[in-house]
Amino acid sequence: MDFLRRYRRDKVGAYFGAILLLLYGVALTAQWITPADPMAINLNEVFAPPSWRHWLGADQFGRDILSRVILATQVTVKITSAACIFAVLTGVTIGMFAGYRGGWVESAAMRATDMLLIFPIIMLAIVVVVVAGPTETGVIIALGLAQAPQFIRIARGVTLSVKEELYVEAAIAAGAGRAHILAHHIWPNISTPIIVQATLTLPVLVLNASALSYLGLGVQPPTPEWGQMLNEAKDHLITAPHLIVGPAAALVVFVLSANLVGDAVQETLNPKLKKQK
Amino acid sequence: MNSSRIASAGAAALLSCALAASAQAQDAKPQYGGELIYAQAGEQFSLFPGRNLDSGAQDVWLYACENLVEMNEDSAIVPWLAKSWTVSPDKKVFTFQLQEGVKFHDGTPFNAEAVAFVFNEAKAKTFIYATILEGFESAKAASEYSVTFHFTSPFAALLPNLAYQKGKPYLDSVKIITVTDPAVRASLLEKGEIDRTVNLNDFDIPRLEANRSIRVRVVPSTRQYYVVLNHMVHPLDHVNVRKAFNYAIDKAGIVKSVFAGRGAVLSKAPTVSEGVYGFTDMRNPGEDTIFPYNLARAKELMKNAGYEDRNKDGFVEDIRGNKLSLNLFTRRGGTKGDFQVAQLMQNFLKDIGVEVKITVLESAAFGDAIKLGPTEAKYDLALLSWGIPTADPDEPMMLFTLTRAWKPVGANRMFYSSDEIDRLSMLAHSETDEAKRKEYVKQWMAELLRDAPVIYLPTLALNLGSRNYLHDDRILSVDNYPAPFAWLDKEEMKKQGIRR
Repeated sequence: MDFLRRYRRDKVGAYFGAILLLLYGVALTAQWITPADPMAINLNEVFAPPSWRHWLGADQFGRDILSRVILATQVTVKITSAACIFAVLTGVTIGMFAGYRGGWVESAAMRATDMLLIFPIIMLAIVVVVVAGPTETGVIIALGLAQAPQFIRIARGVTLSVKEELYVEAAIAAGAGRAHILAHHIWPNISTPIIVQATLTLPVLVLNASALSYLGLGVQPPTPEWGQMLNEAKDHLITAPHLIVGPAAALVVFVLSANLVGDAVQETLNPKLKKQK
Repeated sequence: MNSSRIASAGAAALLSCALAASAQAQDAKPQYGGELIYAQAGEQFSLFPGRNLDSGAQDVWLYACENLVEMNEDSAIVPWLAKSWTVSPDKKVFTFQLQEGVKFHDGTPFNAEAVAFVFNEAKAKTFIYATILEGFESAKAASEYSVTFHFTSPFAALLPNLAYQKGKPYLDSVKIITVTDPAVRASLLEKGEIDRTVNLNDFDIPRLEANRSIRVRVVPSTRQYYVVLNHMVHPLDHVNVRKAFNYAIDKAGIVKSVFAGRGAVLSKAPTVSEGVYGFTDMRNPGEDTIFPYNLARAKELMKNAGYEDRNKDGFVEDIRGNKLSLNLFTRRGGTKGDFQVAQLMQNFLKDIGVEVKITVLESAAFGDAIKLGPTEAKYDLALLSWGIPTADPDEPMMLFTLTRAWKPVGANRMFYSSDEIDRLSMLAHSETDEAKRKEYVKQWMAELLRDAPVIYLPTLALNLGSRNYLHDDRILSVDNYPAPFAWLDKEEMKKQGIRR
């Protein structure tokens, strides 16, 4: 409650937070709110321009673009949320354990992480998708794995400082096991930077998911995805420019909102940062 | 003849190589010099004709190699490296008289021995086109410039005559680049960064035609789209299922939405298109194409084959309740519209309750995936197109539908086998009476319509876009775009602000 009250003070964060919530609402209700069947082909309406029937026009197969953008929102939200959770779970588990255990385990984990960080994120994701296959699960794993190193580093860093705290020593003295300490003493105290990082990672994941599907490595047709729609649209940029409007606008709004919300969350949870500004 | 005629190495269906030149009658006066920049659509992974008959690769090596005979715009066979030829009465011995004084690029003389080597090697090492040479026994150098081909059975697909002129090529060089994206090729051409390109998106053509510095040529082709049905996979071995798939496809819809209504035409016969020897319109009276779109009929055929939607999930199941789900291998941009056609296939087949999962592979991986034998092949369906560069049905008969042409040898990727098809193919291959041979071809096509070994799709129209200062390059319906004798109008280039 206190968080929400403080967050609301940030006007930009509040507005874009509302937009982001709206987009999530669209994603959750996509099946029921699409004006037409996003998959239904109608070859009599190839490249139909925007009209009352098709607000954003129709694509090469006469499919309603607005409906496809809405369904794509659901696909994107599903993939990026799952990838984010995947990255947090694997990253934080490894990072916390490595930081707390120390020794060769920590060295090995951190060197492996450094190795992963050498590669550009999208490159890493492409490799994973090629291996795992261009399915929804494959893309989630690819995007999640590519982001996991960030979380490993942050989790390990804060764990290193938290484990020196007196209450951890007290817990050890009281005979608590490693798992108990990690779950009850370390995690609650390192969660703030992790949450901030997660909100900042979301827009990156959205962009990467779109990039993958733009390259044909994301979810496969007929399931729509913004990147894939943009790829189709670019082939007809001059003949049918209306194709690009919907997916491009959706992508911009989502990424912008997620970024600004991430910043706002960071400032709210980290008041020091705001003062420094 | 003259020492400026140098030859290079290489070989294909009827040939070997050398660099010669011809001047064609023109209104404008040809100019020497300049570099032609030509953007191709697909990547080439092998330029060796023995292993790659890809039309794009052919388009590259034909700049460096030459054939014994050439095919012109009217699909007539004209002399090239061979001056003339004679055929024995039983059509089992062909003797070619070669041009004299031709040299390969390294200076080795081009002679009968070189020609014989190419063909004997093709047989010994089972080159990709080996099944076309069915009945070929050996090639022998009879004298320095005379080579004889011996066949165990008559080989009917060889023939006529014209004259040709020679000279020095006008261009200094030809630069061939690969640009896989048609939209990018179109804009490069519009900006004048390239001089010519092929495989333009049909929706872009009206715009390019409106541009006065660009010339767009569209010709009907012998290239027909089709979907390989892997007969090793149940139920694709069932003729009713294969026919149902054929009837389920709205071909006119494909032409309209993927090819802008102008980049492809409805096919009138299986595999063989107009312009190919022995072509017969195989449509039933009143129908727009073979296997015209008929959803009701397709559904009924599926039902007859034992496939019905038993659990009301929108997909059909067999009697044991197994859902019919197939994969479809395709490329993206290998042939114009391939990925779009694949998506439509998925949709049309869904209408008869068949789930299709599209697997998009990049060119090299796709090439590897579709060259495997019956036990290794992983595809259920694969989207491909078949062109007939020889404009003779012998090519598909010997390479495509013959049982002996099963991959990995020929190009029978369906693993289709029919005794009747094999019998007709062999008869047509060695029949020397034209009327009889055409009749065999017709029977062969009728048999294909009965068996529906593949899903037959529309026939492509080919296009070539070029800047209007480029003259004397050609587009052939066999999917070749020769320009060895093209020339650039420098003044016009300058006027258009193109300085290279």
